[in-house]
Amino acid sequence: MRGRHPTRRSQQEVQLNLAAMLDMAFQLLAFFILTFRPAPVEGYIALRMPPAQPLTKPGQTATQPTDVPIPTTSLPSVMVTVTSQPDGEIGSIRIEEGQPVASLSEFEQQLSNLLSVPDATFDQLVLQVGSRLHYENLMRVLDVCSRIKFASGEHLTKLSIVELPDAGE
Amino acid sequence: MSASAHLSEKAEPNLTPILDMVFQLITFFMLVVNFKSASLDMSLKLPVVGSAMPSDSPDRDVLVLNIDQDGMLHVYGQVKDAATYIASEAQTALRTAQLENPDLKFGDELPVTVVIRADRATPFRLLNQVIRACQASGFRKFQYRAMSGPSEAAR
Repeated sequence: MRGRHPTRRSQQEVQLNLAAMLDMAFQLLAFFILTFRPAPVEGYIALRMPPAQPLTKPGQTATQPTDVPIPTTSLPSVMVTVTSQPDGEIGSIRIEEGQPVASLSEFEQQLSNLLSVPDATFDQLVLQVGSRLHYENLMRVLDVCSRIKFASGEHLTKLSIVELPDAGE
Repeated sequence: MSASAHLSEKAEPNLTPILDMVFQLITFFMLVVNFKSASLDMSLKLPVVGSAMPSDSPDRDVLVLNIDQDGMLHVYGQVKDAATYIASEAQTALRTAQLENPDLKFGDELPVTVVIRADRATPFRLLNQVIRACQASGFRKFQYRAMSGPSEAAR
């Protein structure tokens, strides 16, 4: 046939039937639309948390927060005690053996004053937390702690969290 | 033009532009699809924290723990025993880490970050059980997830 009817061959048009491909494309599109679930933008507070040191010696019962001995850690640490109310709210916040602070902003101010002195030897913070404290309120305290800077300008990242027994609240 | 010839004409729409558009939409959804979000339990109400950094880094070597307000661990929609699940994940992480560092043994620090996604009403007592199980298995790096919001000082 080649060469006998060159004009007829050149006039033929090859038409693809796109309807089937369009059907498939729409099915793929429907799948992706139905399974599309945008992930919410979440933030995080990153902490390095080695296992906590025991608060009481073996055979010793837990006592009131003010009587809790400072754990013997290898790093010099600041102890912060956060008690909880029965509904999970913050009961009181106390730095070391000081008086309870009135608010989180005051807590931030006092902790900042304590850690930002140039000759401060503290390297980590031990957070004693009431067992009923809700995660939301724990994060509010961690939020404050993560904003604290040492005199060197570095943020506080070494933190241990230990649980206060119910009897201590 | 005769009447019979007019009737035999077919009206065929040009499907090429609509096919182009559909393929572009498919490409868009394929690019933005995030299968890792399947490990996140969206029913949890995370707390809102001011200084929570947005997690813009790629989530490599992470262990996501979704904890509801009853302290139950949710993994891909299923409730699992926290201690058993964390121990098995630690074993897997240890075997993976031993490929690069054969001297690593159980209890050593694992190069995996634990992502804690807990409901805002979870008591610390229940959360601490999970944290202690992680620490006992060798996890040291933690990320506490929250929604970014106004800081405490701005409230």
